Amino acid sequence: MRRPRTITRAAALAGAVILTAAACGSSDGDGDGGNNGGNGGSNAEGEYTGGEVRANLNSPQTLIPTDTVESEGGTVVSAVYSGLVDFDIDSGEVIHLVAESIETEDNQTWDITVREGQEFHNGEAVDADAFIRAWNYGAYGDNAQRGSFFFDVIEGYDEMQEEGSDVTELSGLEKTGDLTFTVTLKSPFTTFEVALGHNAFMPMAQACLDDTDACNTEPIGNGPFKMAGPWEHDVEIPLERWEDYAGENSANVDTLTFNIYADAQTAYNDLQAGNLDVLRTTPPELRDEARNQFGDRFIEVATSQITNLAYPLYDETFADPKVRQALSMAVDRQKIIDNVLLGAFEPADSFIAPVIPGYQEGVCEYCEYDPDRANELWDEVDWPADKKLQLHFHPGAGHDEWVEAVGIEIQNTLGIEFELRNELEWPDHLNARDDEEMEGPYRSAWIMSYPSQEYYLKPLYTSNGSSADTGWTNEDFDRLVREGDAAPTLEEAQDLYAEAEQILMEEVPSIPLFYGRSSAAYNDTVENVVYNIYETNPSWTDIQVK
Amino acid sequence: MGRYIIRRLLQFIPTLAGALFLLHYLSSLAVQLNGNPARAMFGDRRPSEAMLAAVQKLYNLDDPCLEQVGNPCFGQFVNRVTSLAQGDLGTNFRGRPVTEIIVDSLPLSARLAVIALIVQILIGITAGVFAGLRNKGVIDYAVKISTVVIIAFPVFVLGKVIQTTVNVPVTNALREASWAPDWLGTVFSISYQANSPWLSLLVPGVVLGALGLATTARLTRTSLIENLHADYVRTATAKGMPRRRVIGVHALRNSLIPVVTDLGLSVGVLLSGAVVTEAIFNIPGVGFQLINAIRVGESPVIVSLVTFFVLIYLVVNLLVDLLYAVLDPRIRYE
Repeated sequence: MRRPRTITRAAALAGAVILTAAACGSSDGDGDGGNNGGNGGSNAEGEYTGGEVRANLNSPQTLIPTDTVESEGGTVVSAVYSGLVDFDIDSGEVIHLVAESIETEDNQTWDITVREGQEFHNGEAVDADAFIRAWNYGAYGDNAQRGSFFFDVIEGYDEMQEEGSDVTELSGLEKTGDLTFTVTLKSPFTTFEVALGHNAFMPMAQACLDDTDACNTEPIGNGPFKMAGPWEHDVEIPLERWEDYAGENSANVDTLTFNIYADAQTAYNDLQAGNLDVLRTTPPELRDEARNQFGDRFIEVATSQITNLAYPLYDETFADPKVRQALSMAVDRQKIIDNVLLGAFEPADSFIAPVIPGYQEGVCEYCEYDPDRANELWDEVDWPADKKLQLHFHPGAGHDEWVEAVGIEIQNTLGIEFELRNELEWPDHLNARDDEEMEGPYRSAWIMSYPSQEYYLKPLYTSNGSSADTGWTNEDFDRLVREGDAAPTLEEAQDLYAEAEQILMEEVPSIPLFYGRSSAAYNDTVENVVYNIYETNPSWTDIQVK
Repeated sequence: MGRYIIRRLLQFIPTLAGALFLLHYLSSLAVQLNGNPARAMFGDRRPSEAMLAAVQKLYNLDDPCLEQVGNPCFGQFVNRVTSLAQGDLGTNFRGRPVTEIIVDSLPLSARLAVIALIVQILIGITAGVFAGLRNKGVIDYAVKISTVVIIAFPVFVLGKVIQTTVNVPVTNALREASWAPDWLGTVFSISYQANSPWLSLLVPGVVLGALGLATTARLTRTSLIENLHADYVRTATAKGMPRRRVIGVHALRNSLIPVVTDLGLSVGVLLSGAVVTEAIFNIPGVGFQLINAIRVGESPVIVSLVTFFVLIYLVVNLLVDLLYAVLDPRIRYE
């Protein structure tokens, strides 16, 4: 049986039964058999085994938590830092990690108490100041932290973002004691407790703030692993177990080294040759081979990534919802996945990824391939004769084939011609989206930062959503999302967000196409490899060396 | 001789300045045509305008000239040259100084190139000599056919094939074998190992050397056959000189002039071949850095690295020209 990876005393008291049950459930389904009870000795309980683990990584952009918005840096940051909250590996529910308690009455003012006796790797205390200084640093515009938008919900953020602003502290943060502070949000936001699980909200040591360049090379964290040396660019990032870790999710191995690769195939070859213990993601073209070779040491999981074709609703042609519904129903997603995408995706049946709590399976009726209904709808719409459907994407990123396949599907089903538009490179493609210059459906993808429906709805589809670029607006949708934000509890918020999603289903402002699938593989040198979908990585603290 | 070298070194200055400007112009043009890489850093998650401005400023991507297609951005060029003169080559998008990148990556690529050149010289010239001595013999045909096969393989195919069909099984077999010394495993490692800077570059070096090996062998062969019929070789033989000396000292030395020219030029091929080889064998050398920089549009890295390539090329060609005088006593530099 695997020990639940993150339980604080408070959470243990509150939900010990649920969590224990969840932990038992997962160890049966891990597919890493053999180690569950059978081995006897120290391994049976997911205990410390010592030993060395090597895993692959692409070159991270940065290791400063507030600047980390991509998976590679995020992988290291979440091993080296521990945040206020984490997510249960099975249910995605919030677990308090560094937080002793997070309390609110109105979902706008949050009282946070940090657990006592927590330290950074350099001995500094993890207290209220550690969080306040980190968030102020992240929110201050001139620091150009790419994760700064996470602090957008906190009062005083806008003043700090203005160029050359002399406001360097969030007015919404107030220290109320050594270990307690109060966060005041711009408006009620029930999901804030979930959002706190993102890397941007990690604490920061004073020594790190004093020399951020050094801290980027050799982060001073408070997590179960600490740096065993500086980040050697393009070579490796060496971590080791932190003996003094005060949390309960301490590491089972002595060292965890990330070898940095530029080419995924090379990493795979290194796994085969035994130079790597864990391959975090297998390239799609090698998955069949890996499945055969690694058997139950090959883990395939659906991720939080969703690929859409978004409609430019500023273009009259797509104003009629029936046009959007028909085009969506004209595409056989499974066929494209099987024939073009090497099975590395799953057909999308909602606007929200399946790993998100509150995901409603099969809720999107227009996501289902139904050529008859598509044609019925198409007969009712006013599509200009001879107009070709323009399909936009950017070149050089492997999108050519599947976008073309979507075009062919639509052509075969509805009898309209299409044109592939990949003349704009990635930056200009994004600019054209921002500037509302697209002439047809365009590729748009999204991946969670924290497991909440809100993260898939608000930024993309509300009228003033931070990443909304389809030009679609709907007052009811905006209202429901607002109500979801302000709902008294997370459960009620989920229901309201689900209701908001229903509007998307009818209106289809974008075509949900595929959910991403990730796959890890590992050698028989390691065991107890549990995939943590909320970090899109095997759980580094659970893994053991044989 | 000294004067000649000084004159050549002075010629470096305008060449480098020209290359620098051209690179600056092209990388500005890339931003103007493809869009500002600062936006791409955020991907689908659109940054606020203030955020975008802050990031553009951080990476010197905020000059308005970067929005006007064709504008050579003279202001930025002057800034670039001024900071270059002060030894500041800028940073990449990961905040890593370009000087550090060059210092870390250059020794790797240099070692790789040395191994490749040694392979090219040893195997290439030897094969060429044997083929040339037995014109239309069995060895000659063997060399001809094998060189055609090697030329036909693009370096990335050769690299990947060797990695999956040789390195992976050999590494696995060696792990089981108790007799095998550790260094043998290192030789067949899949990716570069920082703790054995020469051994783990051996296979990639051979792969890279195979690129130019065929040309070297064929040039040596043709040139040697030609010289074996020359008057001075016949004279030497007529004087009763031993055959070994006739071929080794007289014929071969003269035959090496085109080969040396080719080897000099192949430094360029090695640099570009390294881009591919280094990616396959995960060697963070200059080629690896260059391809990563091009992918994300890090112009400080691209401009500095390629200027550096130009400098290497100039130096190597100067060395080749000086070698001519050593190989052929008739050539003198004043």
